[in-house]
Amino acid sequence: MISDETTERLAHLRLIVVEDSFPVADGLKYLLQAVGCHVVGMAGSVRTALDLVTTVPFDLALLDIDLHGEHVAPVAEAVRRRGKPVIFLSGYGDEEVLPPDLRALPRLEKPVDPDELLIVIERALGATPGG
Amino acid sequence: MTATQRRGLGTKLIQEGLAYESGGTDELAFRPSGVCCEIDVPLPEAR
Repeated sequence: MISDETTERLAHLRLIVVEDSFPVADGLKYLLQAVGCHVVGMAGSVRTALDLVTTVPFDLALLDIDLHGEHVAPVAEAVRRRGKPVIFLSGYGDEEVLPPDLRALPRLEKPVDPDELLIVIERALGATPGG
Repeated sequence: MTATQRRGLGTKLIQEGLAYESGGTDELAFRPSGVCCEIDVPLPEAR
């Protein structure tokens, strides 16, 4: 279960969700809004995601690694340049290899367990930006 | 026919999911003669 302290930290958090599957992205949005987070943008491609992370203020980005065959790495780099934390999402059984400098970042397997997601988000907020 | 206020998963997929996943556009109209849905989707090669 999620502690009240975690719930408090997550309320009003501004999140960007980058995920190529609309039902998955929408499900994540629903879950995050239920705990008080604001999903300030969703994108399903590298191009639209780069637009988002360079123009919209946010606190953390959830990034699906494979976007219809495009690698999300350029988006992760852009998020880190803004000093914000990244959490990767990867599909079950996908052979998704991250560049060495991104491998230390948190990564969750889909389907994402809601409690685990919230715990990983809280942990990422506590970590050094970009680290 | 007339449009109802109620919107379900199908409408959500057409009005939000289609643009989100394909970059296309669509127009959903409830007309007296029936429902008309016009969908424009760019082909991957043409992007």
